[in-house]
Amino acid sequence: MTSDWHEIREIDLMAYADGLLNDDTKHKAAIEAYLAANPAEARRVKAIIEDNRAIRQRYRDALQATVPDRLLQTVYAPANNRMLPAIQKIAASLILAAVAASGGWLAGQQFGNENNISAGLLRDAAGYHSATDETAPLNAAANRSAGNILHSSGRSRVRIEIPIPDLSPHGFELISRERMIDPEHETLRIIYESADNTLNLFLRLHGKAAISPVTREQTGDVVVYHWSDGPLAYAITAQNKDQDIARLAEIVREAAAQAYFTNPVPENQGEAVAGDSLLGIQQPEATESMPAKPSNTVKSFDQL
Amino acid sequence: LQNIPQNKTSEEFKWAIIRQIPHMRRYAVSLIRDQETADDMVQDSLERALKKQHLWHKQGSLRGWLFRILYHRCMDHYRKHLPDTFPAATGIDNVTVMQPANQEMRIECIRIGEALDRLPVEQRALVLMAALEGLSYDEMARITGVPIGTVRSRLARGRETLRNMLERGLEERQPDRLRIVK
Repeated sequence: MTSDWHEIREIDLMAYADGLLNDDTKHKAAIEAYLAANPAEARRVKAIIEDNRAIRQRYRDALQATVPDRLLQTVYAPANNRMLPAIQKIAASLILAAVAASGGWLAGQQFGNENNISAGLLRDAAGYHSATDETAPLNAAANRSAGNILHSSGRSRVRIEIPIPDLSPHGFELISRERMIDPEHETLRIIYESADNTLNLFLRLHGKAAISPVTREQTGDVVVYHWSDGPLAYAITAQNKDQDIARLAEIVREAAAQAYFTNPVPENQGEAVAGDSLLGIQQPEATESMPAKPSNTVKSFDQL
Repeated sequence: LQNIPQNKTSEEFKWAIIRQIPHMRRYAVSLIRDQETADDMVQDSLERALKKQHLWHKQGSLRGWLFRILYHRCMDHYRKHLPDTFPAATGIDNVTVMQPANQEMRIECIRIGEALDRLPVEQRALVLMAALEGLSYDEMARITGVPIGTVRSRLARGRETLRNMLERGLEERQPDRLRIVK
């Protein structure tokens, strides 16, 4: 492929239309100059971009569909014949932007043996269980878009979509979500309420990816159920009442276990990806969410 | 993850595979157009991947490796059971359920689905890989096992045909190729 627009070839136009040149600004600029001077070619490239968009739209919901048990069991069964119960109706989903940076958890770091959730999340979850907008300093940055999590250039974002279950059959309605940002961690907080209790679900990315069972802690009259699933740390807090919070924690865990990676949308084909609008959590700015192709960081992440 | 033990199926490896299942299902159903059959293809691919997991780390990304298995499984299925092009299975094009309320986009989705159905399967497979998964041409070449030049030419032909069908109307398309029945 070439960067001189006088020598632009079909493969350059195709790569441009497919969003494969977004990390090659010089080449991309040459193609855009070429397209500006060749309206017929510009229309053709635009048509390819539109067709790609229509195809993604056509299968937009497929990534959010519940994975059948038989497929999950195919993966789990050889080791322990683990049975995963069917997940209830999914109420919503979240998108969390992760950074696949050199030295990060996805760039070759092994899953650790750490079986406990990060102490930070456990502390924060208990501490902010009853916090409101007026009392929680973390909320000062609530609802910031995911695109504002990290600004460092040279890092590449990946996205994880996390299904959140409908707990209304168990008496808890989904009422709110917040994006809480402290100097070190971005944390998502989902709030469910029943007639006499509040259930908070906190989740954040943490450095040491581990898989751990649901563990119960109690501080004062607040119970915390927490676990890790790969790079995601979860904590559920509630008042210690007679309700079966442990069961709800398992339901959330089963739903969230179907978190999956989403593809960043090429910036010249920008549109919301599946689930972006859910819970009002915005997708990162296109320029920040773009994968660097080819990129060592993305390559590392792709090896998942 | 590159250091996943090769002698056992670790929880970490399973965790990583499971996160690819939605992508595998989406691709398979877009190609096969029948959810049950697509899930069969994905299941077969997962079984094979787990059985052959020691092979993946030298062959690029895990997604690419899983897609390579899935692609060839789907092609085998086509060769045995399906004509090269065919209309969608009943129920799969239920875009009323699958698509947002935007009517114009809904119609566009129906048309693009119908046009895709009429592409030769090798072209459709590549068009879907590029559009849905955003794979590079190098990756597509590794997945399909054909030279990158062939990938590009098939992709270009597929898109041109797709565009022609959408602009001129599906009625003017060439008749579907007949399947050879022995």
